[in-house]
Amino acid sequence: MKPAPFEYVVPTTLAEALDALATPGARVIAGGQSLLQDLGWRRTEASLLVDVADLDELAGVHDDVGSVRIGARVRHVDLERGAVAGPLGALLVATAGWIAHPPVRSRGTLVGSLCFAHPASEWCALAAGLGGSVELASTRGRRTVAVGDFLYGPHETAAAPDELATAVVLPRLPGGTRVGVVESRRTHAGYAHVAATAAVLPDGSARLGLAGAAPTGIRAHAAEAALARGEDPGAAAATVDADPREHPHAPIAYTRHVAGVLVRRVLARTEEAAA
Amino acid sequence: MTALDVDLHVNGTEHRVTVEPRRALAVVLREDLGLTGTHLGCEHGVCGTCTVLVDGEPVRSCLVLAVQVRGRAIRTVEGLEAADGTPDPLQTAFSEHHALQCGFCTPGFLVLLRGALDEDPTVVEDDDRLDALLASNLCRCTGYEGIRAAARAVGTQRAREQ
Amino acid sequence: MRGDDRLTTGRGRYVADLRVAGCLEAAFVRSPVPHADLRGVDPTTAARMPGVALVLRADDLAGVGDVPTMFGAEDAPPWPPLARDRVRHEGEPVALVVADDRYRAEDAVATVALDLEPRPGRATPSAARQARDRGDEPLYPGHDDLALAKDFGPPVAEETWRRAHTVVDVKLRQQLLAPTSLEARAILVEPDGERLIVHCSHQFPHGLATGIAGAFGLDVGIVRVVVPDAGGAFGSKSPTYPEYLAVVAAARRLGRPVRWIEDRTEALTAASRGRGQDQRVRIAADADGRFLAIDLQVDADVGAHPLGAALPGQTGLAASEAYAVPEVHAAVRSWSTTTTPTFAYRGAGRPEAAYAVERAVDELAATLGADPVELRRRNLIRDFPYDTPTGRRYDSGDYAACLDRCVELLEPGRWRAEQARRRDEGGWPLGVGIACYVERSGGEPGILEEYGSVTADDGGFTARVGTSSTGQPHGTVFAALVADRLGVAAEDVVLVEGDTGEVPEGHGTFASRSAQMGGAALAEAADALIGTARERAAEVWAVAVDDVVWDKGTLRSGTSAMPAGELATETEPLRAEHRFTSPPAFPYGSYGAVVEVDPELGSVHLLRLVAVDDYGTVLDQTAVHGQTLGSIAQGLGQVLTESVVLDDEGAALLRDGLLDYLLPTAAEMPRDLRVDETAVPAPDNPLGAKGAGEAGCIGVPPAVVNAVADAIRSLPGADPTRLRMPLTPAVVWAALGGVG
Repeated sequence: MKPAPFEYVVPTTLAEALDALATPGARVIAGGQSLLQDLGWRRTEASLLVDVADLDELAGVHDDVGSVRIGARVRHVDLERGAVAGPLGALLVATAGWIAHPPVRSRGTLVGSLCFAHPASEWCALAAGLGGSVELASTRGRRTVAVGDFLYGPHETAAAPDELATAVVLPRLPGGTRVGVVESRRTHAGYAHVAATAAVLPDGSARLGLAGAAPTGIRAHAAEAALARGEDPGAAAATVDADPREHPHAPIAYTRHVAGVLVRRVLARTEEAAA
Repeated sequence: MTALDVDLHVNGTEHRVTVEPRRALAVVLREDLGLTGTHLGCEHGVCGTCTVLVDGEPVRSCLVLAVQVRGRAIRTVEGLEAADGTPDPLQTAFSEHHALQCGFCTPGFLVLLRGALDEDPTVVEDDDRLDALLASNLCRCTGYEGIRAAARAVGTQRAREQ
Repeated sequence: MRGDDRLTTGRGRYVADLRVAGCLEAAFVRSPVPHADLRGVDPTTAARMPGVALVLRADDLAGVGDVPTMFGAEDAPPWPPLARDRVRHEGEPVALVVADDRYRAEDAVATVALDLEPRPGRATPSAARQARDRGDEPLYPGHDDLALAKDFGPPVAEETWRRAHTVVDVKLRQQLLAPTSLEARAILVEPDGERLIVHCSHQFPHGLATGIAGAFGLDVGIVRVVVPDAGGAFGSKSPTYPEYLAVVAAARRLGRPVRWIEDRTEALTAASRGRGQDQRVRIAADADGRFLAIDLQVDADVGAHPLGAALPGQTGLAASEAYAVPEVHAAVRSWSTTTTPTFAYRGAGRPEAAYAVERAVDELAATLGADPVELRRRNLIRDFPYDTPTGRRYDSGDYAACLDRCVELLEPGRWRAEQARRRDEGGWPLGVGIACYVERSGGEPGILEEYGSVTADDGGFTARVGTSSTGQPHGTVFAALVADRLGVAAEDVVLVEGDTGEVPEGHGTFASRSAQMGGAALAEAADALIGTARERAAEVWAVAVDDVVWDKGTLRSGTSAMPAGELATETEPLRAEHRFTSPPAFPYGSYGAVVEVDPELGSVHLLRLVAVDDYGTVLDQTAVHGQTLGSIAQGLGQVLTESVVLDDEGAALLRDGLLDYLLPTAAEMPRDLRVDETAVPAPDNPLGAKGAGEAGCIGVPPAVVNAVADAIRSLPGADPTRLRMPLTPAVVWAALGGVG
């Protein structure tokens, strides 16, 4: 379980980083908690690791009007400790607590999780559910991609090999927004089976994210619409939003069912949080 | 591939090593520095036997490259004892509460707990928080009861001393 | 415990930690498929890679003998250490690369091209049976795919089934488990002229020395196996594995030390697995609920090599469990499959038997409308020794007292009230489950003996024993035992084990045999040393032996006094040996579980777990308690989370290591865990000791499944017979009647 050889650089400017990433086979390393696993298993390759640890532009959380920009160096633990204020921050705190464990949360990053695009990633669910977007940069220029378009499938994203995801932008949630996260999982050592994130805005509309219910994290549009119509959002999540794949420990019918249950439960959780 | 010179600050001592970028921190600690108390049990970040502190925070040293922690303060199980050889209260408590059998997971649990206690000494006082923390690492021998008991005992001892 | 300070300060020395000058590191090229003809292995590129010292293929091991089976079939097919012509399980070693560093060894491994022509696999006993029925070519030409067939006890008379008031007929599956010691397999071989020093994380060093000597045609005396600190084993580290022979071959060829540290991917793919049985169990009972007959049929997955083909016999032998039943019969069939060999894993045959019988007893209780505790109590064996129809002689016990204590701690009455309340008022379904077991400790004929010696010199006392710790506190327990026998301080006794250069013979540590067999051997050796010392002193002082007393390590007669060490120094070394033999012992226990089930998700939550075991006389309460807790955690792993999942060919379906193969974490352990013991001494053991160490693996799974079955049994649409291990949420949801 040793990785094949690669070179390693730590650029100090974004321009240097993007130049390095233009090298064939170059990969970005931030926390490396997923990349180093896959390199160790020799499931993926890298000729060069470009470490973004010294890029100031990727650090920290920036408040903009109506949105919050979370840099690619912001770790799970930073969010868990409350790097973001308000209801969005509360949702990030609650979600971060489900990501792996403290020794992984101290290295791994939210943006890194989006780029790894594991189907059961809580961050992918949250970012998709909130309708966030990912900022990408390369020597060819910059672009912003909606998370729903960024996440293609298991371990597949819209990022080109030479593109660096510099930040994720999440919408600020207005005061009075109620939030919650629930999961089904078999033990604390594995991935979630299904996770659901919710933000219920003061107007009663909801932003719902699902992980593990489809090839990638998704926004549960049908469940949101059902809720708006006064119908059962769980049924909509199970039958319309969910698009699970067969798993030895979770048949498709079961995963659909769980997606529905968790959507109902996460909405109930937001009620509890309010009470 | 190009080997790189890396300065590592481990348990208060500075080391310069020349390593291939692909070498995990755990491997460099074990092979280059001879600090074999940091174990490798799974090499994919799950078991936690390789847990060390980097700037006081617990990390999986199997999922960190040595080149990534140049200049950072690293603490391993070998650095838990005080300079005069006084054991960390956790080390004593682990023995007293039979929190180890084969001992392979022990350094990882000790370092995990030391990092957590340094950040927030009350973490061991609440069952849910303690279990959430201990769930970071795997033990196949003890059923965790002794580890829980040792962690709680250190918390109680601290509370008594205050 | 003694030695804890080394392990808590990072000064333990596991095989991977040993610093040996010039040591090379090995990595294996393994079969990526379960079954194929191996037409070629091209090592050309690998041999030229930087740092590579050697590449070995099967052809390079022409003079090396077969891998020895341990509890195998009589008609064992050939088993070369590196696959020749054909691979029969995923991960089977095909070639070995030795390099100056593990990274570079793996770089070279990645370049070795295999020419494989896939063959159909057969991953399960039923697939093997079907292949045999069809007349397919067997896995090994000239060898039956039914590797072993054995019956235990006379068949149950047809008349018994006919006249029975009730018969239950239950089909069950024991999933394959990965033993998963946190330190996987590890070996370092140092050639020393003609001699070999083998450092290995191993449960049975004398067996490994014999296995290596046999394969290489060496005198066993020149192979010294030393077990340093070992990071767990749980039954899986007692064979002479093919990888070990390949590493020995490489070290001998190179004349240099070579180490192999198994990584987690190898451990989960290519290391032996445990359990793996399809079971059918029938119990006949009369109208009063008295058991008339038990019939147990086992079809076991042996895997691609019959390393442990005979182990499922343990399940057959145990088919009576704790009950006085006139007719008990077990038919055990071990099938060759295209899977990694199945071997011992904590419990090794006994968890399988307890699960089968105890699940069926609960189904019988449900059919009869009887209370599961009362039904068990009515049928427990009361008089000892008790000869079971399957050929066991249970030595001693008070099974009813053990069950009573379990019930006392479990408080089923309280939980039944809560169960009823929830059924009336709503709430998650709650269930109470109980299971009794009888197991066997000490081993089987052939290993029902152990070596112990005690030596006195001016440094104190040295105890040597043929067991081998892989994490058990032998150093503490055995030293205390010998010290107690000698009347000296525990610090004055040093234990030496796990070194064939220091201990002349031994049968190792498995089958819960160390305290029972090794402890008894040491106790008797210590007694013998006292006798020897008194005789020696009598000679020196020219007095009668009866006039010499042993007083806490000092010989006294009249006004003469001499410490034993001084006596040894002034005359000749004082040493006493003992080879202890005895029949096996039969520990037993009763387990109880209270669970609630999330009816929507199917997840199982443990509200209480009770373990009451009887290990005979306990030598060290802390050590035994630790063994109980650890085995409980592994039992919970089997019942709730762990499973090796294979496709129809035998290839692993879940490939994310310990992210998929889920060991219980601290957060999965029940908060309300009540552990107690009863202690009826073992009559055949001078210490009264029976083995401890596997109990929780045996008692927990049936207790928990019975509790879940109890929780869901009365729900509309639910079918407890659909429960199977592991009780994943999806499995429980299906048993609840969940449909898409």
